Amino acid sequence: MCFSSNHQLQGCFRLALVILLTLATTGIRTGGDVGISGRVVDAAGQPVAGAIVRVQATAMTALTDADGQFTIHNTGALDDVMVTAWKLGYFNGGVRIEDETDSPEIVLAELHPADNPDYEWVDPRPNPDDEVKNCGDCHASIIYSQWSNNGHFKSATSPLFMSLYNGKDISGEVAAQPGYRIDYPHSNGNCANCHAPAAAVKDYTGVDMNKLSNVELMGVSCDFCHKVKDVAMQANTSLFSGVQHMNLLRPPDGHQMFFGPYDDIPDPDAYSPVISESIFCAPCHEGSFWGVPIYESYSEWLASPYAEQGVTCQKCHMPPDGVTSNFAPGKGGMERDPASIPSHFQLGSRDSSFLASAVEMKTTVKRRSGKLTARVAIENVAAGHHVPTDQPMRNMILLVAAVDANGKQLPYIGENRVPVWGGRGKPEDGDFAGLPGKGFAKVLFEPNPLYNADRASLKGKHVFPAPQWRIIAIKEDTRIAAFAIDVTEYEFDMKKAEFPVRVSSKLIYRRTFRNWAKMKHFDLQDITLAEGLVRIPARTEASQLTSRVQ
Amino acid sequence: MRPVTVFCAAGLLMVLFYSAGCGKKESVPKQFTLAIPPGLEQLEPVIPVDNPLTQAKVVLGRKLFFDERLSLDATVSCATCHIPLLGYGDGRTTSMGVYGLRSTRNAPTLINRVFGKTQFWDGRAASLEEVVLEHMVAANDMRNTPERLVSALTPDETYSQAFTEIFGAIAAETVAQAVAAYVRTIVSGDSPYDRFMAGNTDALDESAQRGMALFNSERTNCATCHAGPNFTDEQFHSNGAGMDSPSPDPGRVTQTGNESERGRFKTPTLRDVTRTAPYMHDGSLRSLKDVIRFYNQGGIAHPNLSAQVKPLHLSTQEQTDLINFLRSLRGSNSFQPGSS
Repeated sequence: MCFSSNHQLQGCFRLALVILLTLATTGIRTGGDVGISGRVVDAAGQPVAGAIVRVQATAMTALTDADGQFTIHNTGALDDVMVTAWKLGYFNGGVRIEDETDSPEIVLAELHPADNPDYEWVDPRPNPDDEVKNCGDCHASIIYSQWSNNGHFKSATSPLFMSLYNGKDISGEVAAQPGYRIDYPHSNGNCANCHAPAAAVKDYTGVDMNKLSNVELMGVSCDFCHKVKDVAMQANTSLFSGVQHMNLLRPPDGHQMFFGPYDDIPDPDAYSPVISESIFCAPCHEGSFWGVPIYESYSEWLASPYAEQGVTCQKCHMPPDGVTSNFAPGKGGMERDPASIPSHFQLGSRDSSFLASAVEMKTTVKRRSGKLTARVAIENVAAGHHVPTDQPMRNMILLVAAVDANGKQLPYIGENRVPVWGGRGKPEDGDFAGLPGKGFAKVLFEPNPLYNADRASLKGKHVFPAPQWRIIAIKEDTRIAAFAIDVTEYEFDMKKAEFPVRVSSKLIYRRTFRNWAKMKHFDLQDITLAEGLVRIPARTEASQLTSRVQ
Repeated sequence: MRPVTVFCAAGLLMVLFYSAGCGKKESVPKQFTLAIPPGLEQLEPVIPVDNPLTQAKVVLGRKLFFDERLSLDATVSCATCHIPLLGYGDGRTTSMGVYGLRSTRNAPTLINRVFGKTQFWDGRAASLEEVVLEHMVAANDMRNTPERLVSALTPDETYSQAFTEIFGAIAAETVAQAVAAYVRTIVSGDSPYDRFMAGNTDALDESAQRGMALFNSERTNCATCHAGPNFTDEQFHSNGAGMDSPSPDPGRVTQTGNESERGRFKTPTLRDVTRTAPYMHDGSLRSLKDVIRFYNQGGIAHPNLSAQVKPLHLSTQEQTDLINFLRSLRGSNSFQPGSS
């Protein structure tokens, strides 16, 4: 197993945490044990067994016994701290104590028994001027600013998404294939189940993405995720998608509550173990269309060593920023270890350096009797799923070229070429189809003729690669799985070459296929993930030269 | 004779509708003359008395046939599984409804169903209206409800106007009647075979002619079940297809309860058979070549295997001849409304 250094560090941290927790819960009795004892009861005064009790914002914890009694050992002297408790099915509870000699009784309130479908979502945007507390009013500086720059915030309004939904170009004005609404003019689709979950919970098939309002427009917003009580993935991910895999718990009128990753922030918060697990992301990062798996990053993760090692989605996509020690400064937040605070960056396909960190490319050149062979190995070193993953229009293109001292391209005599979806046209415009290289994508096609007598002019036209909402099948899947290495060779004729010869390899990432980008007038820059250059001097004796560039 | 009485009854019904209506001009709806292509003249169209063909109804039915609003999420129309270019099949082993839900049987062609008395592979429907009604609400097909259907179609003024004029109201039943009326107009004949039979000896090449002789011979017995101008006896037989699977489709027995009918399915027409691959009720045979090979080996052993199905010992040339004959059943398509 070869994890990157980053994961090793996280592994160490986990181990330390486990040891700490073990020490804290078992308690090593020494002569000078200073600790705190108390009791956890429910609203009726009955003892709550098996609750986790914690000195707030520390790793000092204990479990309650059958009588609801607990003792946290070795706390040392305590001064005006909160002792908190939580058990599944309850809100977090907490009592402030003056010092360790107190004997607190913590009352745990049960969660509301049922979801309230009429609940009004909290607006994420800071607005300190009104009476209402928005998410951003207390979490503006850290969480809100991180979240409002990521794809989750824009899931319902992204021009890229909307152009595909409506069948318009990026301006939103001009009709352009592909488009869900061109193909199904009377269907709103189930896009909202993930792209506008706050609206979709009202109607799983009927939400028009053009008719959202208020918080619905904020995409995968704060309040939505923090109202998810549990995730239960249905087996058929074509029939069920996004919010249909989730159990929400929205409080009754006049009440509030949030699920979060902390068991030590008292009511109205409730600890949610699932919010830190990969399955929390699965409802929207695992999905099929017409029975064909389209979004697969969760199952790719499940099948990867990352799942075994417990490296969750959140660990890489919501890494602690390392600086934040209080996520509600001045608003009741408390100081914590920065390593215990996940960020809300939710890094993804918009973040070029994050993408580039996922792959490593190594180019080796061999020469033999006038033939030059470049061997390119691309390894998925840091993504716990395939690269690229999810939305199948994402793709990577490897370009390999050999140029002699006069700047002349060496004739290509190999077989691997960039597929047609790399773009037909001039290479200088970014159209790379046919060049020496390779494409990495899950490519969909339409096996059956499309038939709609009334709309033959638009719908009758095949688009290749096909968009996932059409009745599609998978033509090929050349993506690179976690820790997999893709190796390909490229042969050039160097009989007439003037030395030195330079062999360059370049791996780029595109958020859509080139022909889609042209049809839709997307102005998306190619993201360079890795580059390699091998220089072959005139009279080198060495038969093998290597470049390793990330 | 029969169509005439049907139309008279229709005219009467429509007059009743209109006189009961809101005082619009009373006129007999323009009747639709079902053009019977050469080769099918001997067949008797089955048109229910309460749903006569009219011009307006067929036009409406055709629009509905291609309209995805019939399904739960407006993504699946009749044409999703009955694709005209694929002989009104869908090219899949088993067909697919909303959200990619799969049904257990191959989408049968709609060609010449106007000549059939029972519908579906197991004959469970007595009319095409029943077929449409079932498809619209079946969980793995369109998954819709009658209420949702009506509320999806009503806002469309073309529909509300047409339904009011033709049926009085939009309802699941009237949608089914309109679609069924359109499906009854999907007829195919006037094939090279029909032209040959009409005396044009150039219409079939020698191989196809040898294939025809084989097809009609007692050696193959093909024409025993694939009988008559539509190449079907509309009866239920077992050739054993799919009976070797772990959980075989019971077929006709589900309708009759008669164990001797387990594994029996309705003989499909062979008209335009080159377009409708894959074959059999489960789509288990990918090509006509596979079909001929299947019959040549005597189908698949099964207690209810038809006596007509037995090893044929056909030479390679004979198998090719049979396929060439089947190819000659491709109709001119000029008899289908909107196909031009």
